[in-house]
Amino acid sequence: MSAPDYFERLEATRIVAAPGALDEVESPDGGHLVRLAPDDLLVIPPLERVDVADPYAIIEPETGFSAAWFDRSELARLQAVSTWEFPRRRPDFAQGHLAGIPVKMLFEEGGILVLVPAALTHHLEERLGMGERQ
Amino acid sequence: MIDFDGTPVPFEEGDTVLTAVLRAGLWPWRGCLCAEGDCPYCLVTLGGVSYVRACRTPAAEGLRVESHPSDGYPSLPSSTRASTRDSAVGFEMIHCDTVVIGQGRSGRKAAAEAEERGRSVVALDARVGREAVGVYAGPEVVARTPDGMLRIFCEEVVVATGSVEVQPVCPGNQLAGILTRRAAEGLAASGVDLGRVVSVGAGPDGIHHEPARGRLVRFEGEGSVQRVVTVDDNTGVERTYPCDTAVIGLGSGPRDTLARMAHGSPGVRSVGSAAGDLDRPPVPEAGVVCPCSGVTVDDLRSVWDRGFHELELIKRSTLAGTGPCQGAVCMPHVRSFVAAGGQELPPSFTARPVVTQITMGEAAAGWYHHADRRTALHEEHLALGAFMERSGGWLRPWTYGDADREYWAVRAGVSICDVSTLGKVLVSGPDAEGFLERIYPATIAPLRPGQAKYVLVLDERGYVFDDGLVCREDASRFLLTSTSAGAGYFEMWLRDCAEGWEMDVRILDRTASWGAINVTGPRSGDLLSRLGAPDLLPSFMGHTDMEVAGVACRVMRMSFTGEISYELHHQASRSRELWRALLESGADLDVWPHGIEVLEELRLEKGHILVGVDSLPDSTPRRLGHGWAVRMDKGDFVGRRAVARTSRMDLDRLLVGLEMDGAPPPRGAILRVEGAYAGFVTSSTWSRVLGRSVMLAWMNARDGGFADDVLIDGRPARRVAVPFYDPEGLRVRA
Repeated sequence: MSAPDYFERLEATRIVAAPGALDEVESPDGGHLVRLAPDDLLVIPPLERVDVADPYAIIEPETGFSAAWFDRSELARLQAVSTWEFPRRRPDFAQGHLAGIPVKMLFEEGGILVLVPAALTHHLEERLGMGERQ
Repeated sequence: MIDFDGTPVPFEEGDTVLTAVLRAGLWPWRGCLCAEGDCPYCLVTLGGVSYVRACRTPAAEGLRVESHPSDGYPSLPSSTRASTRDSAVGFEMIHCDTVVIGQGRSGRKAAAEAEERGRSVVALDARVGREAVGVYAGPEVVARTPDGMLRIFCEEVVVATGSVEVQPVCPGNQLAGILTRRAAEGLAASGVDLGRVVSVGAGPDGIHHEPARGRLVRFEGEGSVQRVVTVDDNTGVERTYPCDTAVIGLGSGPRDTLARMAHGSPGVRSVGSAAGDLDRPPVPEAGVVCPCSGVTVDDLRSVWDRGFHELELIKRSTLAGTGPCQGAVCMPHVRSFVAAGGQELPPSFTARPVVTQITMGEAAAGWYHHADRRTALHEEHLALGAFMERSGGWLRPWTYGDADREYWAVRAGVSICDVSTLGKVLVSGPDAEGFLERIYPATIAPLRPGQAKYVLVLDERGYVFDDGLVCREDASRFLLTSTSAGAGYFEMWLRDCAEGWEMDVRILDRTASWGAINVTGPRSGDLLSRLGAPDLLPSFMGHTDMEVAGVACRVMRMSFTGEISYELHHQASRSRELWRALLESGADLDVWPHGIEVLEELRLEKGHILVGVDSLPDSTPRRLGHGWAVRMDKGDFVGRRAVARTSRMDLDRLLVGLEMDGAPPPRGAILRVEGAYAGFVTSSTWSRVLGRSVMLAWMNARDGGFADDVLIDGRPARRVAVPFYDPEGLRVRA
């Protein structure tokens, strides 16, 4: 199935630390390192143990986002409700609005991982015409 | 067949409604028809939608068309609230390199050149139903299509919309039977019988016509034109030309409205006739100049004589150019009129979207309503019958249906409340303590790990814009809370301060990630002891990390309700599990949630302010009665100099507590002292536990003091100290 039925709450690790320290964090196997800002890193899936060379780093479980994986065949449908042009490079990461809702998007060869603030998930599901939550 | 005002009208493939109607021998429109979407004359109503141009509407089987009334405006369609969602206009956002508006010769050439350069091109042309209606900065083009609206984001816009023909201004120009030159050529080619044709100016190609010699003076006829009258300016002799149709060839000007919307923005350019110059018509002497607004040459003279000599002022004072055709008919003549008065003509106005009439549905297509956030407990609230209300950008439970039960659960037993919306920000770093000392007017350094403190947040003017708690975790790490509505701004403001002061701190907003449930009431400790470790529960204004019902929580003991309260901050993914455990374990304690309706009542009984409700944009701590929250014997903090300066001034108004018998007055109710205005109520409630109404109100100083007795809505109220309930605070510290 190319289009997900709904978004699910994401389990991840959030690290805010000195940018140099974040540069050294290694990606988990099959996971993603998403650099939200120079001092802000999202690690998917969550890390059991994190070594960050910054004694003042804030390392927290992150459950404030919902996520859904869209097949690349869905790209045009998502682009049609976006005021900004999606990057063409793969992999790539971008932040903006989708159907008027703030999102973070991870562009992979096979598709797109869309992250949305959990508190706004229902709006995005409705605006993308996704199925009713069970 | 189409139905035109009840008359069946046949049509041919490719016909517009205009062509079909005129070919059928009907001529229901007055004025000089352009047949190109510029003039305001062929407006009709289609399916309840008015201001649709017949010349831009393809004829289709069964189409029901109504002409606009000759006087006045078409009636508004009847409103139905049902199925608006199903009838929503479609929309799509497109990204490309170049948009070419208009597919005449210049437009096709521009599109081909762009494609040769490897650019992606979107071509629009109103004649084929893809009509650009607005050009915005970006550039961005908004277009209407049969499938809905397009928002096109691009790097370049090429306006190739051609030219608009100059219309005649003279007595009789509102008669039927007048066509522009291009309209006549197109209609004749489509088989419309124009009868005896007289041309004024450049004559039409391919149509047998009699050229009228001399300067156009007027059209004559009963309802439709029957004679064209000209004059020989050398001899002053008039000549009359009998006709069925008058064809006008007075030149043209650029159809540049879309280009003028861009107002010189980079990336927008005109080509071909759209970039050409106007063939300025003769100075109008009589007749209707602006048919949309009914402005005559006499009207122009009238405003001119009153001193309106600039184009923009004439437009505003007469409304010429503000109607459905957006000046396509009148502006060339108004410019000639102004120039004849010796005024220097400015460039054409910046045009405003939209260039043609669109429906409300088309204007709204692709735009969304405000997105209210939901907490992780939203479904739990609904399951308990909550009525949800918007508050601070969130949907929150206003009540669960029985405010009395909710209230007494807090005051006499135990209750829970979803306070996940509170702002929550972590700050860590070697400069964290010093950073917060500069942020807050309270002292931070004395706080020990596990302790919390109430703080105000001031701006540079010393005005309160938020409040919350500072909780110390360790020497270099703090948790800050803020109001729900202020959370987003508060976090940005902290970042801005940290960067501006070059302080070494890390900042992470946890508002969305952490849920928070307030367990409150005299039996709140009993409930938590069943779900956690009672020995670890913090004392008043303390906090600790512990598990509650197996969920890792930061338990913060403070009180907004006036009873013992524990806020359980936790990962939002565990909120529902924790909420259900509290309800299940407290069933025999009659635990019941309360909504924000009751929370308002509870906090008001304690005299707690709500920033943004009880405060005003210029509320200083002293005006709020919160001078105790500011320490002037510490180092610099945001707003310090303003607080020092204003504290030397007399207090002009004060947020006070008032009580009265009977029902509470509404927010905003006026305070009067000896008949004079003395302030207004900011919050009010009937206190179930006190048996009287209590309120907070702004009171103006009078003779250097504040009145003890006031009238509110004609009823007496007394000024009293706050808190109204448990003034010693014994209950929250129990």
